[in-house]
Amino acid sequence: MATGPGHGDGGVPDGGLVARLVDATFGKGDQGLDEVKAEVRSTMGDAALVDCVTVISAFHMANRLTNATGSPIDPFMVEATKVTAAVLGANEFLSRVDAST
Amino acid sequence: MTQASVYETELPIRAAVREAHSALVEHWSSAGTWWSAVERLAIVNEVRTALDADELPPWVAPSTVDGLVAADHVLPVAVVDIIWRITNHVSSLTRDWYDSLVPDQVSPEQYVEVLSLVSQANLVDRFADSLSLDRPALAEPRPGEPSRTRPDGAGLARHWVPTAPIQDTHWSPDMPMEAPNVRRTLTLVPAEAKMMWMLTDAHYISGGILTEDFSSQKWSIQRPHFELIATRASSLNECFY
Repeated sequence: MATGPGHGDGGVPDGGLVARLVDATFGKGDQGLDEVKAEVRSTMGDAALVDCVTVISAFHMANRLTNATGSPIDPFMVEATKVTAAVLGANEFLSRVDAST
Repeated sequence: MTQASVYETELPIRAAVREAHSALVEHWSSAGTWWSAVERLAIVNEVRTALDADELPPWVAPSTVDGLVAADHVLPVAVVDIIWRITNHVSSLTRDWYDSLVPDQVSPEQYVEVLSLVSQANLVDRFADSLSLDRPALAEPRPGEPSRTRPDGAGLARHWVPTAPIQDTHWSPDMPMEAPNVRRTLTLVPAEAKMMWMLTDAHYISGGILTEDFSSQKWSIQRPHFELIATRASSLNECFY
């Protein structure tokens, strides 16, 4: 669910829908943004839509800050990163080069 | 600009977000540390231009495309290219790209302030665009000169850019570990680091309390939603960190 469709909700309430919302805000996925937003509003409510977009926006900032400065992985995340990076396909990212695990 | 008027909508936008975006509009129209108010507003405007433009491949600098960048642009050509690259191709940023620009075309300090403004504008405008809201109107530039102050102890450590010791206790003293590297990215320009922490508080986790369930902060979504969004968005931006 974190990287693509077909994984249900992954134990997260409305997780599949939230994932489709993220994709749609990036112009990805099979649905248009307006369609997904309408589904989020009717399923989870207006506040949830706004809160999801609020968090998505945070990562538009944070991802730029780290990718544009070569931020290395924090020591407390190194082991966890080794486990998850392969699952997420993150080892293929250009930003992996300077992440220094 | 009042907090209420930064967005005209019935959608339940959190007060902290309205406050933060209203503060940013003022921040952008003020002289910064290394760029004037006019230049800072030009940076934000250029982010909007880049967001709305037809797609260019990451290896094509807008300054090389006929008619795309005005000859009398307020900003140096290199800065315009930086803005477009960070805005539209965040996954393509490399050390070689950075070294091609810094320090020969922009100083590290100038780069960090540009990066901050570009990141802030991407946060705000993508928030507005995603909710089908008008982007916040920009204010008129305020008088004043850049302060041109460099923090004590700044130097190259873990990042491509020089960083400085974190000067305030914004990172929660309850956290057992030192502040994460993302919070160090803008410390070369403390005024920008301060805005980044304000935005992180409003848009994500207040004070870096990663262990909370966030219920005390009155979100309508739960911690697992945060983690799902963080992973999915960062994966789409190809952010390994």
